[in-house]
Amino acid sequence: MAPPIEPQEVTSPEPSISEGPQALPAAIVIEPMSADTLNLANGDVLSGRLEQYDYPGDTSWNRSDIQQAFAFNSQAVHQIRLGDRAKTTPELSPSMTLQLSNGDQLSGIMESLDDMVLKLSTSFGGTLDLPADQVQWAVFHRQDQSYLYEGPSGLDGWTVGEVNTAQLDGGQWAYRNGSFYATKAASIARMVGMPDRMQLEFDLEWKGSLNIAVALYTDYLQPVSLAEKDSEPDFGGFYSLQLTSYAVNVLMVKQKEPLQYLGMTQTPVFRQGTKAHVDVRTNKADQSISLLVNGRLIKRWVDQGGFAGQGKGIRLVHQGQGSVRFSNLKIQGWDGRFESPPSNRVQSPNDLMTLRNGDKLVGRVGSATAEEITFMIGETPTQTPHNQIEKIEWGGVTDTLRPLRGGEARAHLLGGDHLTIQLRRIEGEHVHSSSPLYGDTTLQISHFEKLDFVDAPTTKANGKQGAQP
Amino acid sequence: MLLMGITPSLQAQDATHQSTPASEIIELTDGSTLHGKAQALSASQGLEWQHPLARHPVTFDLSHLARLRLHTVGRIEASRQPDCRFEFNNGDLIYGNLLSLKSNAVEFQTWFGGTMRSDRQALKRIAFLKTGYKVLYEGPNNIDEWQLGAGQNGWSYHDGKLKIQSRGVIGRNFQLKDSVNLSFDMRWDRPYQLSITLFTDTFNRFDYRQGSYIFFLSPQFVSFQRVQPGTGVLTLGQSRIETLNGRSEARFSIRAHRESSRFIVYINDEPVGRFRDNRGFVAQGKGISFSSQLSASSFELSNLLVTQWDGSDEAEGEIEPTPENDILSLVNQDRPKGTVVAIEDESIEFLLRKERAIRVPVERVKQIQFNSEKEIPSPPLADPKTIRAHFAGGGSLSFDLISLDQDQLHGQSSTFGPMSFRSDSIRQIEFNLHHQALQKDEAADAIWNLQSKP
Repeated sequence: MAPPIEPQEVTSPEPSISEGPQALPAAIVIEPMSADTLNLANGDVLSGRLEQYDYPGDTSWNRSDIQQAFAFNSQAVHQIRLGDRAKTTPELSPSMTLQLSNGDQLSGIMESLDDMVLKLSTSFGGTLDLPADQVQWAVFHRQDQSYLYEGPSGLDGWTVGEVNTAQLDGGQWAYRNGSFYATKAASIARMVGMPDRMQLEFDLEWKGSLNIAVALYTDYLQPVSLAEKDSEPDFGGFYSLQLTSYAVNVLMVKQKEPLQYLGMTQTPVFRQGTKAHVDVRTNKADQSISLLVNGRLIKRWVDQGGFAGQGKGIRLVHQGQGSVRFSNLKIQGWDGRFESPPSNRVQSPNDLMTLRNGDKLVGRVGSATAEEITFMIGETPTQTPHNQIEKIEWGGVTDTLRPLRGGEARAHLLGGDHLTIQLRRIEGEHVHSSSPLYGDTTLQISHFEKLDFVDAPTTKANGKQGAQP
Repeated sequence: MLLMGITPSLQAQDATHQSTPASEIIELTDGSTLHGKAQALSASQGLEWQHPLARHPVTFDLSHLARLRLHTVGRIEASRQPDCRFEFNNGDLIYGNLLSLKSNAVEFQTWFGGTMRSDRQALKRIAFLKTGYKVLYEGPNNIDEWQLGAGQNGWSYHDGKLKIQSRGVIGRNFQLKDSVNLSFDMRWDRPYQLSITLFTDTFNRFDYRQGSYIFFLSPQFVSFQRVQPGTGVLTLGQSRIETLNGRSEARFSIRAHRESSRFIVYINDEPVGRFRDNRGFVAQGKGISFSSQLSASSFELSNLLVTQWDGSDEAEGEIEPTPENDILSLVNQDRPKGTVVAIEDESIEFLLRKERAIRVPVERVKQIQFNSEKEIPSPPLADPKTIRAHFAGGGSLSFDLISLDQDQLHGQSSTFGPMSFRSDSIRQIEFNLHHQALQKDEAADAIWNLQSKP
């Protein structure tokens, strides 16, 4: 007897999904979620509202169905996920993302840099004075960069497709706190004006099997039944990027033409991990679609039959398996160049500055103002405006990442940044903390997504490897 | 309402059950799950709950409670094993012994609530279990009562669940003899291949040197094999499963009967495969093993119940109730219609076609389907104080909660009137019965945050 050992590696086409209304009915608009979630040391999970956190001390946790708030010893708190909160400080448009020696990643606007301090203006904590000698790298956001889409920030502008099949228990994408979530087969789409050369990025997190399809260059905002595509209402050609736990594929879809798979590949990130940063680059001129996962090129597909995408929209289809979180979607034009992710140059005595035109300068970062960086090449200073810099990688900055200690928290911010702080108190909208890197700070809790008080088990397949701002 | 916790001290269900103090678990309608101890529970005061990591008890009102799981429970203790399954129109199900049935009332004996009476019209069906209803195992209760396969083995125990996230074998001796009904809840979040070997004495690996029967379960198929020493392995049947598409949890019931060599697999109370070994029943072992075949599996088994099986297939015997007639299902397959006048002294007084009075010995009857002429409407379930108690060994009753104390659960039922049960007989209590525990599309991030992975 030979019992089956592994499931077959198959890709799933988009599910058979029937037609539905063109827009989300008002009755099912989903209100922002206000509940916080508490994870305790014994594995218990409790939703409700964080009232106060003190360390040392107690965490006060309330719910509408209890008469008196819970008081848990804060040492027993492993994680707090924070629900939607109104932001009380203005949003800044960050000009850079940097990484510190302890692994923290922060985005903000550089105000100045000298031998001692890098002043970074942030949305979540005002101006932070960062020790200059602890900065490992900085990636500069394009100042002329205009995202064709950046979000999601709600359901406005999106078309929620109706999923209703005998094979699939249909659901809908739900929006919460900067993310779309789906736990059942679901479709959501919008026109984003996809250009001929495009970079499309998003973060994925999943539980159970991953099985989603991302339609690129579609002109049709409803899900398409691939098995019955020719009897669907007219739609133009598009590409279906299929991301599953077992395979990655691109499918060319046109009415009146056979479905065409451009080629399957795999990534252990989807098979073994639970989250990934996905980066798709397209170029109509050479008929290519490239997929990068966590900064690494997974596959470049070329459609020898010519570029089939006829629309400018995106459609995101949950294929009915697992739970998926979709966030930090950014769509922008692409110059056709694959940039390398920033790295930590621990062994190098020199800093490396990479310019947007591809030039690389080796030397030492001198100082900086809000407009330009002074970079020393030998004894010669050169001034370079921020908007001409792609990234700076400092040399000789040793990693200091270590496990969390009592009272320390890894604070994850909306948008993907994270920082390590000694958390003393959370009260109202304020997070009072201290850190060897940031000093005593008061941060805005409305910018936080979650607080981890213990290190989560990690797998090699998980997480970002290098920022892709 | 009492204090000191409502879980009574009990003798262990099984000699191998080392009693580490298992905490109770409360599940809330938003998916929250808390360990701890119920200090008091009543319709008027709600649930006072002491969490082990909290400074003080907290009182929940009943509106958001979904389930209270009580881990230390008693077992069927009766002078004789239950020999009837009573099904009521409101969904209640009780195993007990029929004392009498008259034109307007039925009276029966239960191990957890003593003598109970109900209006005859509340009764939907009585099944007579010819070999009685014997519970062989109910759990899982801890990992120590199981034998694990050697080497790397992915099985673990947590909160009343056997979990696995890779490959592995686990099993135990259930003292099986001539029949078994193995039922369990399964929840998965990845494709699975679960093989279940019945009537084996080897619990930690596949053993082809002794006779046994193996069921292979996957989300799409169930297949059935006989293992016979000297003959090898033979597939006796396979069924395609359509009911699990898009699902991630189900209740399975796998049954085997030596005398008839019949085997049936039920999923969510629907038969999905019926098999027979035409060579006769070849297995002799007393245990069952579970084997996960996939390295990327991720599933959990809970609410395992192992009982004897009398070989009857309730789906085959399903009879559509009629407004006018009661219907007897006889062991010779006849199904006479008429009126059950009374049952007393192991004899049924039956008015055949409402004309001719006959007496039928109970031993010749498999079940009685009662007429639905005056079916009593079920009470509304929206009231938070309406609960459903699940009893050790199977069966459940819904009623209005009055209170739960150290010894007794007190309630009021429209079917049974005021009633009290031994609190040690209750495995779990469901609250807010009308509530879908989680409206997934309306609380996606609650799901995301709260959903516990197997």
